[in-house]
Amino acid sequence: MNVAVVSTHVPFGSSRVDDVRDELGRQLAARGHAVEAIRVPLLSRDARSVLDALVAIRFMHIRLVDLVIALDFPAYLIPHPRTVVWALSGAETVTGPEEIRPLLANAEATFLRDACAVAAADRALADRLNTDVLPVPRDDREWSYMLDRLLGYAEQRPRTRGTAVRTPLSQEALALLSEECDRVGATMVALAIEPTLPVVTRSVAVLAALGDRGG
Amino acid sequence: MKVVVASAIVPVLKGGGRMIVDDLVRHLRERDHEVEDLLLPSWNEPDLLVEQLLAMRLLDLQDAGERLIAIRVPAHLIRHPNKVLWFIHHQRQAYDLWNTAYQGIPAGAEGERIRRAIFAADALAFGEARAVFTNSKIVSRRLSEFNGLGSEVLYPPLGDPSGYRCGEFGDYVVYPSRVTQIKRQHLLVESLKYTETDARLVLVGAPDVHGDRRYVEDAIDDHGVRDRVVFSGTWIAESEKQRLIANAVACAYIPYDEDSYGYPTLESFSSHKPVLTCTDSGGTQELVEDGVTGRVVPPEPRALAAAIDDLIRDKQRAAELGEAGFRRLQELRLGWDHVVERLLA
Repeated sequence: MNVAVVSTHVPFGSSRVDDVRDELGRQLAARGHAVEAIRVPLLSRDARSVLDALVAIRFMHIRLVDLVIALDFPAYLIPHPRTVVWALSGAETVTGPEEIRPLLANAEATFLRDACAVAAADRALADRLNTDVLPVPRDDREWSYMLDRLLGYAEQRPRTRGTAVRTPLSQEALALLSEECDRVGATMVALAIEPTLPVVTRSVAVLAALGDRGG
Repeated sequence: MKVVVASAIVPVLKGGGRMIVDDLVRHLRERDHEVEDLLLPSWNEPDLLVEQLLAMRLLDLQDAGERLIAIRVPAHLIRHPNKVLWFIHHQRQAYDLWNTAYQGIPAGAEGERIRRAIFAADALAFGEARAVFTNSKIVSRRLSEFNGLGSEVLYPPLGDPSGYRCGEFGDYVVYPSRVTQIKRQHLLVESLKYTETDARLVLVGAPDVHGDRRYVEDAIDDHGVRDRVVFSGTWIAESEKQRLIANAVACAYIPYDEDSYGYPTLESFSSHKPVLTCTDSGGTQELVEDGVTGRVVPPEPRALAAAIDDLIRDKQRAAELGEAGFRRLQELRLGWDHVVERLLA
């Protein structure tokens, strides 16, 4: 099977997510799967940076892989028809303006519904996302069990879906949402792109999911 | 120096675009640079091209490392204050492949809008870069012609040439490449129908998508040459590839209008083997000269067949062409010291 393992990554840094991603890749490769690690750069967990990364991730397209295993927010919002989310960290790790965080939480709630299945590595996150708990394995035996679960999720009807709760937005958050729409628009202007219809449609869909209308 | 090497990739797909990244990263690390390789997914589907430009533009690496080396588009749009481009090809459907059979982007108003977006994005990225290098004269020429941009050719060397050697000159031609229609494996398959010798063909490489495998399989069946073609449709170990090249009469590399001389050309010459290419294969002709370092023939099965027969019948001549190819490579003095020095200057 061709598998992409997707996570965020701080360039020149190292984190628990990096360690797990690398080990997951090794374990999959050892079982004969072709593995591609996709590391989406994210320099800061500040809400504005995460918002940019989130929109970027929704515009990335992974093809030729049978399965995506995604590990953290916002990387686990990457679009693919067969995404299994094994959440090591979620939107709660974002810092910065309080007004933006509900936007991110709503995006998480909306786009996790696209995933084939969702599990979380710890109880608190699992409770928030209303999913199974799959702790990070400690040895090869546990990894075998873990891979059976992750690959099994991809083979069967989804047992769990992201069911995080969407949040009604304050006036401040709505203003920021509007500002973010302008910002993405400004980026497109900076590119001097005359937006094409499919891009406009999908941009609106991505941004709408940040608000409280798409639930 | 802390260096980020960024490139757009198609996950799990191998080929020259991936090799250049892997080789550069390894050689930077061997020279004690701290390197991050960021391989970001992309897919060449017209409807998705513009939003993928936007995705790359939204990635902010302005405080990550002292240098960003961007290789395959649209990674050139990533924001960084010290960005250099090692530009290996345009989004070609919008440029030189426009109005060809390989255009991909639909004609009409929507296609024109996509093209304009790509042009504008390229102009932005080129304007931000502190230097633009290319992998071939042909790519530099396209940059000059389409974008009015000057650039420096920085030929990518082989990552590790030490495994390449010359063995026997067997009765087969080997074609090491991704299997996809623009590489035109089907022309070589068909050529076997016209050879007068018992020449065989070994296709080394995996199809980009399942349909690409089918197109080669169909060609093999349609032309009734299955007993003379080896086609596994998978990548093989480097050592096995090197063994196949070492004992071939020649390497073939016959893409349509390739961006550069292509790794198969380097691999062939490093093994003292001539290269068989076509008059419309683009960058290959920066190294392959007809009757000097290989054969350059029209992209027609009968012409390819005649060239293969010549090589099989006169192996002494094949060896002389291969030796000249090896010498041509030596003259170029390709080396990673030079590449690293220029990219970090």
